[in-house]
Amino acid sequence: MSSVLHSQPFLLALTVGVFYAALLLYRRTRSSLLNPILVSIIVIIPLLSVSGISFDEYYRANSPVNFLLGLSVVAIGYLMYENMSHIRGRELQIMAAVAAGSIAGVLCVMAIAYWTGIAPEVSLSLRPKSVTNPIAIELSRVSGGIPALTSVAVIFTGIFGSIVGPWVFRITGITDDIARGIGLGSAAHAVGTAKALEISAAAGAAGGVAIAGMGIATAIVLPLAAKFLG
Amino acid sequence: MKGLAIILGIYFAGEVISWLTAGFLPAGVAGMILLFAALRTGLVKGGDVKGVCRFLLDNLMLFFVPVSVGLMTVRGFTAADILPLALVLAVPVVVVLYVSGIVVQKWRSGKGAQDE
Repeated sequence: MSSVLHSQPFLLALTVGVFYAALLLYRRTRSSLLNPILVSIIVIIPLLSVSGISFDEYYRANSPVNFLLGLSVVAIGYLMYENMSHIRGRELQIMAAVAAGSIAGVLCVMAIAYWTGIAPEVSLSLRPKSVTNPIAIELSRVSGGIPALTSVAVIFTGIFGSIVGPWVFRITGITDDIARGIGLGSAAHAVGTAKALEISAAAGAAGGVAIAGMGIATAIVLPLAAKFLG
Repeated sequence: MKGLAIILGIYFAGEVISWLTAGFLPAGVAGMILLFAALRTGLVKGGDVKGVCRFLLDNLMLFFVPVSVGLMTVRGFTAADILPLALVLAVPVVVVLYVSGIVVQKWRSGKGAQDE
């Protein structure tokens, strides 16, 4: 029995099965607190602990899923291409906005981490948290962060950003649809972009471009920030 | 099948670029830029990769479950870390929402206004 539990088919089916069930639960309730990934983690971690399966073993068995994670980053290039046609003529301002957002976000994490004495590897893990998860995980890994911590921080950032976004825009007087879409996509990746789609199709497309742009900008900002500011 | 071959080829090319830049650009990000450039220049047709890209993008959330389960190996947080963590999670989001949004808005009302 134990060898069955340790087999790759079981550990892969565990990931996909639990996630699918969590997705159905989310679709039924539409509660952002029941985020399918968070629910999956909460179910899978105790199951592994109880059955004596180490994280390393689980992670290795799930290498096909991890490969698809890497591949999906490439696919975001397609997302950018598809949405680019909606923002024609405004490419430059959007690149500037995304770059500014990326720099501000990374510096803000570094400053707060510095002042509150957060451990360096936690700071490194949280710097890319406004970036879409597959890219954020990759950036965290190459910069010495803890990918799991990054992933969870990215999920929280998405949920929180899409909730406070409309409120931030109202207070600061940001009324332009594209500006709102770029803000939401830059700060809160795909979850923010889903919110932007509720504003208008153009805002949603702008958010889609911001997701990819934020990934590229942050990939460049992170090593530079680490080099000059530590 | 053609789409999968193209995406895998581009991912590999991204791997080569990552290696050439001594890891400065992660392979996936390099591949993402290459795919975008190939689509823009018409080197790759959108229709050829649409299917495989849609599959990857539509199922994205599933792919980061195993990495996230790694949270079980993270130790050392105490109750004293809650406030700093809450701050560092919440404040930057508001800053990015504002900074990215305001750049577009100001640019538009300043320089862009006469174009419309």
